[in-house]
Amino acid sequence: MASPISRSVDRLRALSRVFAALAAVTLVSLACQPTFTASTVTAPAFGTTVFSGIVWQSTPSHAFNVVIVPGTGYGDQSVIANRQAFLNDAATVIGQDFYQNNAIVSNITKIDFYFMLPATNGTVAAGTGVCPAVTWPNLTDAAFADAIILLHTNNLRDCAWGNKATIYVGRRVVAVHEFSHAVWGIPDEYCCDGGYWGKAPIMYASQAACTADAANAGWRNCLRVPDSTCPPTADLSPPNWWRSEGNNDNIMVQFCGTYVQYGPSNWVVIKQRLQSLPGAGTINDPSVFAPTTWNWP
Amino acid sequence: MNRLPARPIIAIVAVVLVAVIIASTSGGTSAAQRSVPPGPPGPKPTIVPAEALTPAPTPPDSRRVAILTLDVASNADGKLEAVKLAKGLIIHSYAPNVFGREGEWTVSLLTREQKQLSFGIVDPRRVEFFDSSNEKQSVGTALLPDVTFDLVVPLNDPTGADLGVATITITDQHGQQVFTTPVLESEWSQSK
Repeated sequence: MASPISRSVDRLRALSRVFAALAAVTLVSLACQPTFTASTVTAPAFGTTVFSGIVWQSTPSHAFNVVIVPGTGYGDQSVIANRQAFLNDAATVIGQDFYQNNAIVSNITKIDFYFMLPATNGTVAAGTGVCPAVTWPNLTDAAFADAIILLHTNNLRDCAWGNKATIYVGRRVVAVHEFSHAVWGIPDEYCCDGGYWGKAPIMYASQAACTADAANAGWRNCLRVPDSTCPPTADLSPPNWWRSEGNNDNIMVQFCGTYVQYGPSNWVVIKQRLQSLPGAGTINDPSVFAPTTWNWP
Repeated sequence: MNRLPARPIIAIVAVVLVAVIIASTSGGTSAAQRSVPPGPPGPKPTIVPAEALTPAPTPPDSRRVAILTLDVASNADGKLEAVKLAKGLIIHSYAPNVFGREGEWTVSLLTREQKQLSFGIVDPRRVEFFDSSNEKQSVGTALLPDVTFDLVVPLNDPTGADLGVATITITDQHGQQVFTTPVLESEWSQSK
């Protein structure tokens, strides 16, 4: 017959086994938490330089992904204070630009933000060409990105090539404008030297094509790009592209001020792109279109 | 005095605790499952603190992308002269969600089963610039004569299935083919 002491020891052992099991279950459950609440490690994992910033989807292919890269002004990113300054500014761009766009906010779980801690920060310096001299870090780890932003602190002209853009932290709207080219594939709509391509129901290669498209009937005001400026100006000659939104000033125009929202023609394309994501589920229509303003309260 | 045996009590408590934990995690509000209704939402999400370093996820399967570094050259009149492959690289990675996107140029992928997939890109020579001073903003684009750019090509679909891409071709805004290459698996799969 077991003594009281041995029974107590048995109970303690049983209790310790229960706590061990609970600890294991807790660890597993924490591992299943969304990456939005990140665990803390002391150093970047070997072989990767990209980390979760604001991430809703555990599988990157289920979202459109933005990777934000620090410029040299943010200093050595192994220093926590420097990294915090970079992340604070990244949060500013996300909060003041992306999260002020009603269409994006209405589908916020479809757009994830990552940040990069490269071996060497990107540089944006005064240059002699159209744009500042820009040096990008090795972006191989960001190959999954739909858009890449190099965030910098020096007030120089911002430029965008393909899916890459430099963004001065003090400059509004540019990040979402460039993101919209890269991710949605929508063209510029301003006059007269933008990047234009035929993309119904936004832009058409002829007036006849614009006026005949039932898809733009809800807002149709087909104007050639030089005639659609805000305010209307004298004919500035080419380009021979027709906008379905007339002189409505949206984020792809930016001719008459700072407009943060998309127009109704933009939304048709954006919605199609959002619906193309695996497991997209319900896509929420925005409650406002340009030129109506909206602020996240 | 009647006392309940300790082991059954501990077992019951453990089962309840485990059930509570499982319920709170599996049926809870995973960020991946949450949806935001239209209109004013709740508080803005905040970015992670600087101490939090969670590496971007790597694919659990064998999905890959090809990264083509391309040199684009134009003549003095700005007319496109050549697009040449400077480097090809195949890596294990998720891919950007490019299919269905349109642009000035078109990237076409011909699969081994002769199926064609495509997506658009902005003319890689095009640079869009922004200036701002006070409240005025200036925006425009220009075509640079010579550029080097990286084209990321998915080799798997978003579910991870191999697309069997055999050939990559680029056509410009005039419909002219400006570049084509077979996918050189062994050559491009060497380490970074």
